[in-house]
Formats: sequence, C-alpha cells, structure tokens
Amino acid sequence: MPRRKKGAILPIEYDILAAGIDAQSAGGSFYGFALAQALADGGHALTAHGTLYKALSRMTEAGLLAAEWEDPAVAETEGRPRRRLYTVSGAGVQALSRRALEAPAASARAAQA
Amino acid sequence: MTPAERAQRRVLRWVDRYSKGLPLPVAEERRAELESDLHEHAVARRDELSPSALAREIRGRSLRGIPADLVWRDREMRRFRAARLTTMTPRELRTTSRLQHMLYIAAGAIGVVALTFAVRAAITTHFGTPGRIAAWYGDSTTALPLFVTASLAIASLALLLSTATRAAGVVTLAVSALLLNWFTLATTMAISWTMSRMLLMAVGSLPGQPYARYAIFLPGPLLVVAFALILGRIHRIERNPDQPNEAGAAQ
Repeated sequence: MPRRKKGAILPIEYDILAAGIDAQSAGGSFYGFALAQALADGGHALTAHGTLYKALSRMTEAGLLAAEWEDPAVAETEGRPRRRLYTVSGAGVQALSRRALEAPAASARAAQA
Repeated sequence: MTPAERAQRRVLRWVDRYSKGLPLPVAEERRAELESDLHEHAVARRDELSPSALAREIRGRSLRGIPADLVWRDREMRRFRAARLTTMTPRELRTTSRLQHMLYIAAGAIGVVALTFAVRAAITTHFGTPGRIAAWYGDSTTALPLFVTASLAIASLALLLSTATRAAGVVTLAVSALLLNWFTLATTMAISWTMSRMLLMAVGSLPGQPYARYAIFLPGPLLVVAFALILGRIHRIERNPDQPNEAGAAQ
C-alpha cells in the first residue's frame, strides 16, 4: 500500500470535517456514532468502525480535530458508556475552506483541458 | 442474549485482538470508543431494525473496517516500538539485536541452501554428465519447489527487516523451513546421490526403527518452534516494562 503524503487529507476526512462542522453548530461537539449517522445520510451505509476511528484518530493527531472524553458522571446519569467528544479545530475549518476554494479551480482547469 | 448483543461481543473481542500488545492506554481508548459506538448504534436502530438485521449491520461495519483496523494497529505498533527503543537498556538492545540477527541468518541460510539444492536438482550431476541442464520435464520440475522455497526465504528476509512486518516475516520463514525440510527429503536423489546414500544409511542406523526414521521430518518443525520462541522473546523485551499485561487482559 503506498504511504500517504504527509499532510494530505483523504476524501473521507473532508467529509468528516464537513459533517463535524454541521454537527457542532447544532450541539457543540460530536461523537463517533453520531458522525457515522451524519455521513450515512443520503442512503449510504454506516461508516465501518475501523475506517471511522482510524480517520478520527489520525485527524486528531494532525490537529484537524480536538477530542476529549465526556464527563463520566454525565454518561452514568444517562446509563450509557462515555462518549469521546470531538470538535473541528481552526486548522480543520481552514483545511475545509482551502479545499472549497481549490475544488472549483481544479474543475475549471479540467474543463479547459 | 440477543443477536445484536452477540454481534457486539464479537466486535469487542476483535477490538481486543487487534489492539493486543499495544500500550494499554491506546488499547483501552479504542475499546471504550467502540463500546460507546456499539451502544449508540443499538439504541439508535433498535426501533427501525429487527434484532437480526441490527446484528447484521453491526457485523457488517466491523468486517468492512478490518483493513483499516489492521493499518491502525500497524501504525500504533510502529510508534510504540520506536518509542520503546529509546527506553531500552543496553542489554535489552543487545539481546534484541542478537535475536533479530539470528532470524536474518536463518532466513539467509535457508535461502542459500534451498537455492543450492534447487540448482543441484536442476543439473543432472548424478547422471554422470555434470553441468548439463535437465530437460524441463525432468529434474528442473523437481527443482521448482526448492526454488519456491528459496524465494520464500528471501521474501521472509525482506519482511524481517521492518519491525512492522517482522511477525509476517517469521511466519514466512517458518513456512520456508518446513518446505525446505519436506522438499529436500522428497528430492534428495536429484540433489545429490551421495547425500541420499548418507541419509539412507543414517536412517538405517537409527535405533528403534521403524519410528525413528520419522526423525528426518523433525528439523523443519523444530526450526518453526525456534523461530516462534525468538519472536516471542523479542516481543517480551519490546513490551513496555510499565505494562506487564497485554491490552487484551484489560477487559
């Protein structure tokens, strides 16, 4: 498998950034399964565990997302396991904006060619 | 237990398996995240799906994610080993290096021996015409399995050189050792007439026949055991001393 170029962002990671920004504008943060549901909207299958959590872990390390574990008391009160809560960082927002700017330019170049 | 609960348990068992040997906080974090995901998944979908459909959906998400799980494990393992190298004592470093070199030497030796035997089997020296290449249907086909064995040993050497693929290298090396044992015995006549005679005499002189003759099949399995022990020893040394139990034990 070819190694990924350092700093490169995969399509699924852009999707996570976009879905994450939407989710956090509604609830302040998001967690793994909620994100899988958001990504599946539109009739897609729920994102596989491995794909989702590998991407989340890499994006957190790359600084595109910030993560923290939920207060155990909250989880206990609601009778469920603790969630790991994510927020899209400033770097994540910038990366998504850069892509939004680059995508029309790339398609214009393709149309000219 | 419902089908969905069984599927959840299987997923968590898989998490424990692929996070085994990783630093405990990393493994525990992954498990906790999956526990939360499985719970949320069951709660969100239990009214929409039948228990068996929910179980299928959970299993599907787990199965589709296996390649990514393995890539994640590989990445974490590389990072862990790189960090561990900086905290090893000089003695641990020496022992690890020595054990790794034993594996390299074994791979090289099996490769050279298999290649030599393959070349000998392909050349009809035992028919009194040294240097003549045998017909394709003759000794060259006898040599083919030995060439395959040599290729496997060389491939194992390449895999052993990277810590991420070391375990796969040991498995490949073990297979090549078993094949070398088997094919050498199967093609002794083609490899060397003298060696074949000596082998027959040695087997004939073994006490307690007929069972003792099976000793000639032992070198391969013994090498496999030796490689497994060496790999186990390397892994024990590499394991963080602050982490006496493997991640799987944390459940």
